[in-house]
Amino acid sequence: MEKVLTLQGNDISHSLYKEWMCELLDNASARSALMNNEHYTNIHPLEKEHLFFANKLFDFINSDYDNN
Amino acid sequence: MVLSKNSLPQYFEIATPQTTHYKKPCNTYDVRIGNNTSLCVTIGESWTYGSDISERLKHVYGSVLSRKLDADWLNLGIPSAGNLFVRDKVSELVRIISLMPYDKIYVVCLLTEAGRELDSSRDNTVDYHTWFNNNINVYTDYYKFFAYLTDTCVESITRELLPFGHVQLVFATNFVEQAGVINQYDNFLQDSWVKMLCDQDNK
Repeated sequence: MEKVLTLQGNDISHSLYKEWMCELLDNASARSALMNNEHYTNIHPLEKEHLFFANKLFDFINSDYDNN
Repeated sequence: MVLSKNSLPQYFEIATPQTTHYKKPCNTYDVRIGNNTSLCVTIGESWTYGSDISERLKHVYGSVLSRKLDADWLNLGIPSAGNLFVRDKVSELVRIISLMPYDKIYVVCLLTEAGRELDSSRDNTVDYHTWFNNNINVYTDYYKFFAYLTDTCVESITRELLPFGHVQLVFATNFVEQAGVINQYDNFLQDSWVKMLCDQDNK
């Protein structure tokens, strides 16, 4: 993990920091510029993140949790 | 009933200047209908819409999940939307759910931070004044407020969908660790999307 800052004792990674910034900005062009940054893209292609989350949801939906 | 990109505004209020940052009404919703007996409905903010993703309708998580479930797909996402938007979309879904020709409907609610739509058109009938009078005694009580916002939203969604036995409801969060009722619900993905990604990175 590439640390960029420490917040309340926790090391914050570059990618997480950018996610936060994107949400804070909530601006399509600013977000796009950040997301297209080569460093970020190499670490976390957005498509890969969505595939990851979809798989987590799929596993959860098919798990034995109580749906009631 | 026929669900299509063009027909969705009949059933679901789209982004408007009154409820979002959009300057003009905009239909940000997506639908993919095949010959499936189940439907996957994903509801949330920009991460659910799929902001900045190449080939968005192919790669956004709802699209991937619905294909894995062999389900048709309805994506109700608006960038910058909040949890009250999710609640309202579920209410609109409930109005037409009995008209939908599906044996099984998966509803995935992706929540974000509490309070994003505070003091907006979506909560202008909520009596916060009484709640504050009854619940805030010391400054740490303010934490309860954010839990209260999440609780009321999750409880409303759950209550509305409870009568429909063919609906499977799942909650998840984007980058926030939810406060409130999360531990009381088995259908709440305990870790946020970002935390799961970080855990994956740290392995």
